[in-house]
Amino acid sequence: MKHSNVDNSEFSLVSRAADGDRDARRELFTRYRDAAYRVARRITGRDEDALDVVQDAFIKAFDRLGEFQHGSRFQTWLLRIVTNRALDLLRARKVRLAIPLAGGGEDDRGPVLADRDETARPGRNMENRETAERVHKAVAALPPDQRAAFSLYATGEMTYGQIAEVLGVPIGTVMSRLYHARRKLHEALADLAPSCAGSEREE
Amino acid sequence: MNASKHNLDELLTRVAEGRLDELTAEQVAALEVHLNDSPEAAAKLAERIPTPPAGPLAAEPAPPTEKEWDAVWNGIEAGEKKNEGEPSVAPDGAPFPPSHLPTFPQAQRLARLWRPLSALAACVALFAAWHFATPTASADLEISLSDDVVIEEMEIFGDASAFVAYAGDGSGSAVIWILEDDEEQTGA
Repeated sequence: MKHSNVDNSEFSLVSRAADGDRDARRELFTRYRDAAYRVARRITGRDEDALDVVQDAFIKAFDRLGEFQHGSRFQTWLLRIVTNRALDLLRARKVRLAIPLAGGGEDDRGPVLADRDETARPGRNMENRETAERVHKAVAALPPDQRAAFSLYATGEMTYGQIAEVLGVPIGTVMSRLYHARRKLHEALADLAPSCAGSEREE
Repeated sequence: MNASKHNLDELLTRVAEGRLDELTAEQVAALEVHLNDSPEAAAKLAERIPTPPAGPLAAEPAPPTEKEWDAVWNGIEAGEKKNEGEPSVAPDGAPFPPSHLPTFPQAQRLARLWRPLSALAACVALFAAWHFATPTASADLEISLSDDVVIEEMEIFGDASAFVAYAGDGSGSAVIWILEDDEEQTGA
């Protein structure tokens, strides 16, 4: 799927980054890190894992910029790498949980990102934490393909076509996965809000 | 599932208007097939943004701090340096990288080694049986090691392979070995 609305500044930025321009790479990172993080965070369910995924995805993306086709948006291409990387991590985590290693556990954190500053996140009271935990569990209970579709959709800015492009599946499949994901989440979290899955469009 | 074209168009309109949740599972299944079969129908939906989630599901995760982003950026630069000089993965012709990035957890790597390890174990078992077994069928049958083994025939068919080997010292001893996909069978 090709998009003709790739702006010139992105084209130039990606071209420079492909030539090894460090400033251009840093600019791409700054521009798209938040979107990458939101998707990775929703799929993995953990801050530290999400940061690891973003880091790996950018390394991979910069390594393969020569393969990037300018007909697509860089963000779409990047999010595809992020999604695949996050799903890989989920699969690896499943294996790790099935075979617990001595001294290891689900909450093991990587050394690079372990010193997360919790004080930088004010306003999280117990109730919010409990709600967040329930939402996380409900999302985590989704099958990986539905979870990935939901994570991209939850950014609120991606079209059906872009989600399909990122996931590498047809648009009808995206619609179907979203439908079932929303339904399951609505059932699991029905008491939190009457339409927490967003059943109505406000226009 | 015999929804008419009219019905499918009507369902598609509802989805495009953000009323996906009004559909039944059967209608979604029918519409999925229609969308995947019809580029025109898919085009109607391609540029639409699905209704974003509401309530607690809409809550954005707290963004990382600048300190954390700096650590990530440093990791990216370190990763890039590490990649320099390493052979890049051959492009597969697809517009995007392969969906499964080439990193496998240890358990998965072990699983992938299952077959060669099994073959090796069978080899060792055969060698041990040959070496230590006491001949019972006949006092004339002698089991001994040979440092001169000739593979006379070897065939690979599908996921199985077989070969016939004999001792090169002219004693006539033969081994027939068959390896199959799901189980290994050995015979001497």
